[in-house]
Amino acid sequence: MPIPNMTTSNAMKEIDLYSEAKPRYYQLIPNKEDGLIILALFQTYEKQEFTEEQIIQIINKVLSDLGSSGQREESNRNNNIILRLQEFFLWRDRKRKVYGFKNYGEEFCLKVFKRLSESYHPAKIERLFKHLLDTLQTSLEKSPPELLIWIDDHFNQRSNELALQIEILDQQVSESVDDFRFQIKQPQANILQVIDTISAGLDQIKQHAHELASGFQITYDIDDILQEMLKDAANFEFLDGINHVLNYNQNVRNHLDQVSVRIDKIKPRIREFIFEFNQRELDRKTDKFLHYLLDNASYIRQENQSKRLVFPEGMIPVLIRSPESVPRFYILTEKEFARKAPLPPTVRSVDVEQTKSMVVKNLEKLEIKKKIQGWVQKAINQIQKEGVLEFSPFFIHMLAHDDDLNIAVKTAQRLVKQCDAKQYEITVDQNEYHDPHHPNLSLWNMTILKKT
Amino acid sequence: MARSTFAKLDYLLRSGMHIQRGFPKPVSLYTFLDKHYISLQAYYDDFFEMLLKKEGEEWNTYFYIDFHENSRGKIPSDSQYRWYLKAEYILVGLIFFKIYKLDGNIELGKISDFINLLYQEYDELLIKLQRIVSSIESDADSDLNEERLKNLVYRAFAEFEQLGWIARDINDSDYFSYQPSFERLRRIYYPQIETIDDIIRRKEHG
Repeated sequence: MPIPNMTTSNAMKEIDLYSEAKPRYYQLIPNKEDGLIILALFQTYEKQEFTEEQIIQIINKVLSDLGSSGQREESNRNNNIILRLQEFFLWRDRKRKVYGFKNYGEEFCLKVFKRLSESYHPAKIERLFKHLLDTLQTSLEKSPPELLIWIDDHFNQRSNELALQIEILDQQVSESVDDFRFQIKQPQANILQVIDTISAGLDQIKQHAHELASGFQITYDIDDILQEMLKDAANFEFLDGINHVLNYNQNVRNHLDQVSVRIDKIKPRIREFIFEFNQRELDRKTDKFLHYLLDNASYIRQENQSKRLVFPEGMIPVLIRSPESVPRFYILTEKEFARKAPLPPTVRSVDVEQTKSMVVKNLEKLEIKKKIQGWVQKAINQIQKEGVLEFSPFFIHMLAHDDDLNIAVKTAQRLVKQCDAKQYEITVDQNEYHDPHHPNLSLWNMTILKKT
Repeated sequence: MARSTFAKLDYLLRSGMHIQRGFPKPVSLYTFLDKHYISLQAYYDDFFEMLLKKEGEEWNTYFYIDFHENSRGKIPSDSQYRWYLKAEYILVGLIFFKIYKLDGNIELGKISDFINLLYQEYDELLIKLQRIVSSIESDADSDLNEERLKNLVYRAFAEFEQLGWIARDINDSDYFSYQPSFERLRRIYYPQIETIDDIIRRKEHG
């Protein structure tokens, strides 16, 4: 808690502020009607004197504006108000039958005036900016480094105050919206009137924003001067300072734009409520309905399906499409319509050399095949004739004859395959068979017998 | 005019879109409907047995095809339920409707702000919605309820956009603007809303 300064706190000790003010509260601090009457009087007459007739005129004007006129005993009401105001706000000269403001009344009005003119004052904004522009020009005439001093002494000093002006407007918009939210929830609210009042208030704020915007035009002049400075390399040392000012101006203008944009967005939304001013009961029930659904919705699981949330009985599901209604398109690409280009004919040619060598190779293979067949036949014949064939010497014999291991091996494979178990018996003796002419070769002794 | 507009309009209406002055664009879709409403209504009725409807007043007017007309009272079989607005989405929609319309939060223009508001000022609704969310079965979703709730709300809003109940910003899909046809969601349940006191009483007494 802040500590009050000595003079105030001493003075406070002399009277009990609370107890003293309590019985005279409404004389000291006027209610809304009295207060507005006082302000209207001050606006018209300031320090001049005025008659009772003139006060009554103001009273009637204010009360009819507030929508609270029409009391039966009007003169009685007026008298009461005038008597109340005389307590602290007005003095009356009995002889001359004129009125004027007491010191307390004047202070009250000036205080309100000061508070309001400070919180919103487009003319002041313009003056502030003009001053900034002038001081900037003077500084730069002296020398460019003066710019930094200008930023410190002038720009930073004023800029917060400028930003504050915009914040006040923004705040006013928020208050209007809050007021709207509050008003429409009142059971007896006259929505049409609420919308009218809020809309008018928003228009007023927008007007203010517009006036501020014209005051802010001067920021463009300041920007121009600074951007010109950036063209000179000698000024690069002030880059940070210049950017600071340019960014600040840009932000402040954006912020101001946003206030207008915000109002433009709100107004049509408020209008949407016009047709629903007698739906209070429906709204109450809607709220109840929503809670009923939330409380009673449950999940069911059907075969082969994932869990599904369903509402309690009697709540129809919302059909948003139907299978018959949705047009189905088969997308055909252009390519599918285009005629296919003919394929180029394949040019065939004969490679004579390759063909010749192929023929030679094939003939060789054929020759080998013939030899194998010949040997196999020879072996079979011998088995048929003698009933037995010692294959290992036969193998060596083939090798000696053709000098081709490949032929001998393949003949052996073929022969084994051909001599099936019904007619022949093949015995293998794992003692190695050697031939002196082929020292690198060793065979098992294999004998093929014909079954009898 | 008619030729260039009708094909698109027809497609949108049959897809379930609600059409009002502000959305979908271009506004010629709306003006065409408004001008030829009577003959278009007859066209859909005669040839397709579909009911073209007009609801709302003045600048809140919107048009749509009411698919309920031919299927009143039918309980959807499983294969059909993809043509229905999911119950979860209906709940999200009604909660949004309450916060925006009934409570006059007219500056609400971002889905993320809607979710934040739910957390900050609507404890009771939030808790009830969380009960629903915690049982959603979907392997694509996160295990965190907060994340699931967020996903549900975004999916619901995507569907609302398909229906023309809201318009979303092309550049940032978090931003949306409320459209008059959102009222349709409530209108569908007018009979139940009107009798909600009785419904609750019946429920309580067995």
